[in-house]
Amino acid sequence: MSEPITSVIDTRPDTAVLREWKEIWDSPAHREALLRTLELLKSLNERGLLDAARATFEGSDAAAHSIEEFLRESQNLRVARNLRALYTLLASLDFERILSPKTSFTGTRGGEGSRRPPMGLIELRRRLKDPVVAAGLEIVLEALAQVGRSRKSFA
Amino acid sequence: MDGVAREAGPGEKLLDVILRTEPGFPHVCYLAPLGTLESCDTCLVEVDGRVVRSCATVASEGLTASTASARALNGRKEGLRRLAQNHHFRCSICDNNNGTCALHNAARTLGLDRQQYRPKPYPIDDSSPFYRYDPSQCILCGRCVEACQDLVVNEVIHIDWARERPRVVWDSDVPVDRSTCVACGTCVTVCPVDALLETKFVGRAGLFTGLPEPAKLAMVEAASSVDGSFQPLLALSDAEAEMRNAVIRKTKTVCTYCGVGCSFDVWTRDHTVLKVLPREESPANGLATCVKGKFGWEHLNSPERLTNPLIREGDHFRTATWEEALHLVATRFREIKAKWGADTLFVIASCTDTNEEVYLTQKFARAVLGTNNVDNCSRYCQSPATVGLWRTVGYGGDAGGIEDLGRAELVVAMGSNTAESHPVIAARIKRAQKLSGHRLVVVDPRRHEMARRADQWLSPKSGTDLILLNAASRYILDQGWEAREFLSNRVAGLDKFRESLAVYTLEYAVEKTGLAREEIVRFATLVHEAKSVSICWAMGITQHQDGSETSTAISNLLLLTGNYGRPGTGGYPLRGHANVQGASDFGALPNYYPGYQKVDEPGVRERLEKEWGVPLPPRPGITSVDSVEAILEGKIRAMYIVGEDKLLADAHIARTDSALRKLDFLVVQEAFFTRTAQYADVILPTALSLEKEGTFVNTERRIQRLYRALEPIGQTRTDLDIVIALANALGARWSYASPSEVMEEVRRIAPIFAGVTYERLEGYRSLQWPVAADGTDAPFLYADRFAFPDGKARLYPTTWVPPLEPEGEFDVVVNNGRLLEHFHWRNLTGETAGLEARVPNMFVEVSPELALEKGIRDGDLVRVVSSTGAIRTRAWVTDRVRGRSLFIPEHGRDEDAINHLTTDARDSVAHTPAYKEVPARLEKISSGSEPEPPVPRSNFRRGTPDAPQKGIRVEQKWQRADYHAIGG
Ligand code: SF4
Ligand code: SF4
Ligand code: SF4
Ligand code: FES
Repeated sequence: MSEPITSVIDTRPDTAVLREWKEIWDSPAHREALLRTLELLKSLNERGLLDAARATFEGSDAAAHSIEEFLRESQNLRVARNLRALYTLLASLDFERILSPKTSFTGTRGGEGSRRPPMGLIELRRRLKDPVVAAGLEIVLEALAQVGRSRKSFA
Repeated sequence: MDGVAREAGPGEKLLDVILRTEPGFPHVCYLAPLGTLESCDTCLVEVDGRVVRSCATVASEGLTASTASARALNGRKEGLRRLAQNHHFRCSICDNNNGTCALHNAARTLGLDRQQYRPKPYPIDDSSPFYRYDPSQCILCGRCVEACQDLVVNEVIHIDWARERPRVVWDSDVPVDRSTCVACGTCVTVCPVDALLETKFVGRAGLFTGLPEPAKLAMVEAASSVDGSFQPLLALSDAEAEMRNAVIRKTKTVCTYCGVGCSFDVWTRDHTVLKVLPREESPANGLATCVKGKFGWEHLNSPERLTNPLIREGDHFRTATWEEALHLVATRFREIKAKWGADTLFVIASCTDTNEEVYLTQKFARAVLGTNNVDNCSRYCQSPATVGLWRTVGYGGDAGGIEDLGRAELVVAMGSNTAESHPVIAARIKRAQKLSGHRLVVVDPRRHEMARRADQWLSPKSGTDLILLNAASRYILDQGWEAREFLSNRVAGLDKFRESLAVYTLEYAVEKTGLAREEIVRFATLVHEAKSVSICWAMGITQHQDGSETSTAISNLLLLTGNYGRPGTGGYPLRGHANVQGASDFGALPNYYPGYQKVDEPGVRERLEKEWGVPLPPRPGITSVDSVEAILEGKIRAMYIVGEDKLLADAHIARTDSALRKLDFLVVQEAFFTRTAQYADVILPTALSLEKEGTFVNTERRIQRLYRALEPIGQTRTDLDIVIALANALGARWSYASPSEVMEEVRRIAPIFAGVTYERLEGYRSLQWPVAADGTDAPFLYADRFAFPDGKARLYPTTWVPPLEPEGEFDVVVNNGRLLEHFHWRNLTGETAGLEARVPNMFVEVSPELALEKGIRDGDLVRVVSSTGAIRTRAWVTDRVRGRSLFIPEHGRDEDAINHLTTDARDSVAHTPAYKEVPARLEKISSGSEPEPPVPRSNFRRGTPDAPQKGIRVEQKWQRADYHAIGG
């Protein structure tokens, strides 16, 4: 005789890795750093910036090929200048100005489909400067570097 | 062509000839499945001295054409220049920049390097949760309109050419979420640019597309300002498009929902579905989908998914390791088998599993547990249709393909709300009716979309369809309209059949069905007059006590009129689940092995014993429906249920509840914590369709491959892996390395699959069974012979079973069925926010006359009571139902679950419950202050349709004062 039941208790045993994480988690300073870092990473991810980095490594061959093809036509050499202009621009965009409400370009939002916008870029930059976040980032970046070392290099 | 002789097929368009050698030749509005639209002027060529559209010019013998002449080239450039006024080139930040943008590619080919862009004065419409329209990027090509009007025939959008700045409008110019748009997404699929995009895709497709709009625009400006040309920007965006391949995966799969079997590429980024893109070569659907397949994938990342094995412990479940869970299951199955015998175990295979998984599940029951007690959910829906076909023509599957429903001069749709249950099939039927003048007869109690469109709509009293069919057959015989030659050469049993029809006079039929004599005569006449007739039917026929009989009567009528064995003819039971056809084909039936080989036919079992290397149980098992009774009688003691919510699926929930409680041991293998899982002793978490490799069979017997698009999440495993592990835990030594190895085994044992290999199913290739060893398949059955030893079909006399009728206190009859937006108990569709928002709760449809009698208004809380239980829900007063007939969607899973009302009545042959025969009582509980329908304003059913049109009315564009023909 089995009554229908709905409650579930998570009784998974701690593995060593989980224990280690738990230790870090239990220290309030670390936890704060990690939480804010994860939030930051999530936001970078939602904006596609992590993927942009990933693509730069993984897609570089195909992308380079496509640029090369284009450059073969001599009149297209100027693309190089434009590319440089673009990347300089990316690095120097004045987010404060372009994000002021006056220049917001959103359409008729508010339908059932509206999604919560990711963290603003100003906020992103502010957080990157935050020493607590910087500490957390270091942990994560180190971990990423570990992963990276085991992969083929794209120098 | 340009001085070179070229060959063309009859009627072939010049553009297609050009594209054979010059695939990059510009053509923005032309897409083969939509036909010629002539709206973009980018495909111009010079023919005999005139500049013409190559997409609209038929290549003919002796024709002289030039693509390279200056006039043609300038014409194309001018066409593109005009398009560019309506579209801002900003490709590197455009979500549509994926290498396939027709406009971008034309701009590259034609070397466009500047534009005079004039934004349109309309805001973006993102009121729909599924897609958004950006008028300022819309180039007015009309592809979306053609798709909506004439391909899927939903007839929602048109281009308003009369405005100063034309745009696409929904109905009479309302926002998308106030329109009749059913969100099939076909318009989005065909849009060549980024004017129509999937909401999930916006800002997610590119490496820079997620940046805020002003930042993106600043980038575009900077990149194109260096010398005023945007060719470099286009080049940069080509590089960016390549880089996207590193983050976006495109994988071919088959839809997880209904039996149409739509196939498409699914674009994923991380574990999220960004886009579903059907392709021209998608065999069942072409470019069409419905809202579920196109947009209903949020369940994949639902926090409600089961991710760990769970074991019952007192009043709760606890997480467990796979080893522990599998060990427990194996031990308990072994104990119960030892103590009570193998036939006290019961296995249910899932209709949404792959064929390979189903095959191993039934093999597990037979070869490991040692019982033929294995079944699948076709028992609840389509088994009676299979019986009807087995009796008369031999194969339990559709006579032809979906295409044949488009070819038939007359389609009869019985007991099927096709536009909601099988939307993509409905599209074929609607298109043939609209564009080719084919006829449609609908036999259904509800006045749903197909009934409204029908040339004849018949609404016989519930449970009397068989009488209508037999009366029509008799009338045809009386008139001497039967297909004599066909009958004498290819069909047996005419005399007995004629005798069996003696009682079905028109008078008798009028009395029993409530139809007028003229209606029945007209129906018979339409069938007689059409050169090709196809009949499709669904659960409105099969879920009656005489479901098998009526299915047989359908097939009889087709045989009588010679409507088998030719294109556009035959019987088409419309299967419900993605792989419900495959679940039976691959042997999850108590009386059949894979490929419909009878368990008790001499020699078959021996052959399988040899292949599987174990002795097999000789007696057929019992059905899933009968298993409930068997549990209550103590004959079934343990169950292994894969992917089925049995509590909600079986008729009479109260009884199923008692049965599930009584089991000694229950294993539920599921992706979600379903109502049935709550009764389990062990729950095994499974992967979902996008996380699997394998094959499905759709309603037209078509076998199609699914490729793994995503990795299974958490601790979930595919059903294939689980059943293999379980079999091995019980001592089997199964070592299948991949699903294709399973298929190799199936081909050896089931002759109808002899030629099925993964290579032959590569990509979008497919096979319709039976498949001969050399790979020849059967898109069309019975051209030469029927599937009986003598090759002849059988007319099979039928008997009407009077339905349960309203009487006494139960004075109304409850019908039930699907809604477009949902599937079953919403375990999957309920996780997609947009779908749930469109239909947030269930309801009961009440006719205006009954509402008046009971004092019920829209939105009132009501109770529906039957002899087995009661449900509470909201009322919707509508003329979709008539008289004392109610309709309740089948998607409720709580106090609104339909099977609280259904009874133990069932079909005597297939044992399918008579879900559609439920006498009940309707009571009002309370009223809201203002009457308000129970679904929100954004639901398409509340929209007001505008007049349909054919084509995109491009002549209206040409007649505009500001349009000048290019090149004279
Ligand atoms: S990729 Fe296509 S849609 Fe996007 S801006 Fe370029 S041409 Fe337009
Ligand atoms: S019904 Fe809606 S989604 Fe489907 S094609 Fe028409 S407008 Fe597009
Ligand atoms: S929205 Fe329609 S008309 Fe506009 S570009 Fe897309 S397919 Fe063409
Ligand atoms: S492709 Fe010929 S006019 Fe558009």
